[in-house]
Amino acid sequence: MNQAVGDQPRGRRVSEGESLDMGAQASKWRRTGPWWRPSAVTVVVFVLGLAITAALASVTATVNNRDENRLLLAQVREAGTALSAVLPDLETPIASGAAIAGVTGAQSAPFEKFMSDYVGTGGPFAYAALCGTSGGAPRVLSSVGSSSADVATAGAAQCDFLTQKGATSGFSVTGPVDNATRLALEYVAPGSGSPLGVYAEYPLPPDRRAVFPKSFAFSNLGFALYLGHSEQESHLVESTTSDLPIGNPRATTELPFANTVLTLVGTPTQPLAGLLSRRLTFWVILSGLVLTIGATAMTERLVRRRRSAEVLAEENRRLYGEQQSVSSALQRALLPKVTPHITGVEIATRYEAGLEVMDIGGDWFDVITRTDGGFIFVVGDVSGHGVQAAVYMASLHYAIRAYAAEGDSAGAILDKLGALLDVERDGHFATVLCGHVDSERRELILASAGHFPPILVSQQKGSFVEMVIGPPIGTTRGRAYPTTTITIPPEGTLLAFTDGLVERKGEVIDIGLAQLREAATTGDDKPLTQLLSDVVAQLTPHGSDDDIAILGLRWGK
Amino acid sequence: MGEVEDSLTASVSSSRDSSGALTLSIVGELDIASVGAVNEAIEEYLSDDSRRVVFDLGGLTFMDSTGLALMLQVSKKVDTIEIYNATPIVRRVIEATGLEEILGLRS
Repeated sequence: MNQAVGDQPRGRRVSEGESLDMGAQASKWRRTGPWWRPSAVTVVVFVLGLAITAALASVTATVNNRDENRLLLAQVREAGTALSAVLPDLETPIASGAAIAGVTGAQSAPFEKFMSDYVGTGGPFAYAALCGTSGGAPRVLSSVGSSSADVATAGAAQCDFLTQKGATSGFSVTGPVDNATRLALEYVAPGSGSPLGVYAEYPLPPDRRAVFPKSFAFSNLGFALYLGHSEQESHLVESTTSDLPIGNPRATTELPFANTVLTLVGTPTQPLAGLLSRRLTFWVILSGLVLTIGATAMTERLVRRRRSAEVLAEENRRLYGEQQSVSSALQRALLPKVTPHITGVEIATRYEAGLEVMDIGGDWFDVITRTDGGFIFVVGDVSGHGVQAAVYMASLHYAIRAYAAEGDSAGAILDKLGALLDVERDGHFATVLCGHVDSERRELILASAGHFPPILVSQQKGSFVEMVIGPPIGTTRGRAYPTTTITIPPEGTLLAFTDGLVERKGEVIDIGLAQLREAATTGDDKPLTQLLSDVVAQLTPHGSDDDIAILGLRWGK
Repeated sequence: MGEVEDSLTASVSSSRDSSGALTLSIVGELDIASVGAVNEAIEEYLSDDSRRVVFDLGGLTFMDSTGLALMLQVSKKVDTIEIYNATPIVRRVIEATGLEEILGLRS
């Protein structure tokens, strides 16, 4: 006796709903971790984003600063040039006044007449005096305008410069004088005769605060102008700001003036390269931060989604495995493990799981011995697949065992099964072939509820048993299934099977049945187990779509 | 007359004749892959108290036990059921299962 139950049924599908139900119970945090514990990748993206933002902002700020400084220096130099251009306006009238005095014998009238255009309202000077010498002592020859308080008290001292040691022709400038309200210019006229010079006072604006018109070309700069090289408060000529000395950013240029220099210090009062340039850094930082936060959030989201998917996939794999093993365990539990030993009869079985349908199938077979020496064999098939079909299969399977044990005949067993299944109520029906072998009388009593008749082969001749096929279990109630009795021929071999063996798409079942008859007849001389596997291999060379259950019985002479 | 695309492998259409019989034409393959969708479509057509249903299976190229179960369920819901134009493949499945009478298989 043999048993060739198919190996582990091929991969069975887990219904999605079932596995997800359990998967959904998994805590979200367990899959992805709490929000305050971001993944390493997210942290890296965040830090990288910040670093890139900082670098870009730094570059932008540096470039902007460099531009600003370059523009500042250029503008301050331009302003210096513009200032240099107006300095002759101060020197020329004085030199001219001295020259007029020289050619007119140092008379007062021509000097005063000429200088009056340049002194007082409308002129650059507040005061001008013609200096000469009398008996080697300097004295004021003539004057225009009102002198500062210092000079007035000093009297002739204002002309001391004429006779000072080392006095050479040309301009010199001192100041600011008179409480820092005026700048004093001294001029020694060239010539070999009696020394002649001009002392003039240039008034500074109140508090030395320069006010430029709005249209001034350098109105975007703040200035401070000093006499000499140093930026001492006492040397300040004028400035646009009281906040002195001018701090950074600043640029300095020196202009020659008289015997010294004017130092011009400038600072921007607004961005020289425009607001956009200065705000660029701000925008770079802002957009960098926004992008960094966005990229960080996106990364974390992707990481979490992937982690979540991985966990879910792992759970599904586990559940799939569980269900698969449950399905195969169920099916294996329902197929007879040890076929009973019956004297004079060889029994072999084979089960093949379908390729196309991954759920557990409803095919089964069974052999039940009876106390009278005979036995009952069953091959059945519950329509459809899945656990529900398997459960109906189990109930029919065990009910038949019970009825068979009670001594019911094949027909009576099928009659009773009608109460167990209802296609309208349960959605499934079942085909069952039930055979009662009376070993003593060597007779076979068969009944079929919608099931294929078995094929009987003897002496290399085979045919399907001619019998009446009743309706399947679950389609009618209270029907008495007819039975067919045949005599078992010597060395007869009987094969009972389910539709998976002969039913193929695009092909009428008669083709499969004819192939089965051919295979069973030509293989009659093979061992029964071999015959079963050969029949399955020949009829379904590429595997069957549906499940196949096949039971073989072989009698001796 | 309506038509419902039910799955990749089967579709159902319906019509009603003057006597009030509902004719359901199933085209394609009626097996475990398509039976759910076909069942839903038929449920819709049956909701109007049809007492007589005629299946036109001229376009049905394959039917397995789940398809038979579906036909049996329909047969329990109505007074009479008839099957016309069954192809040899489908006809033999019905015959082999002993359901010619119950399903009203006509030549």
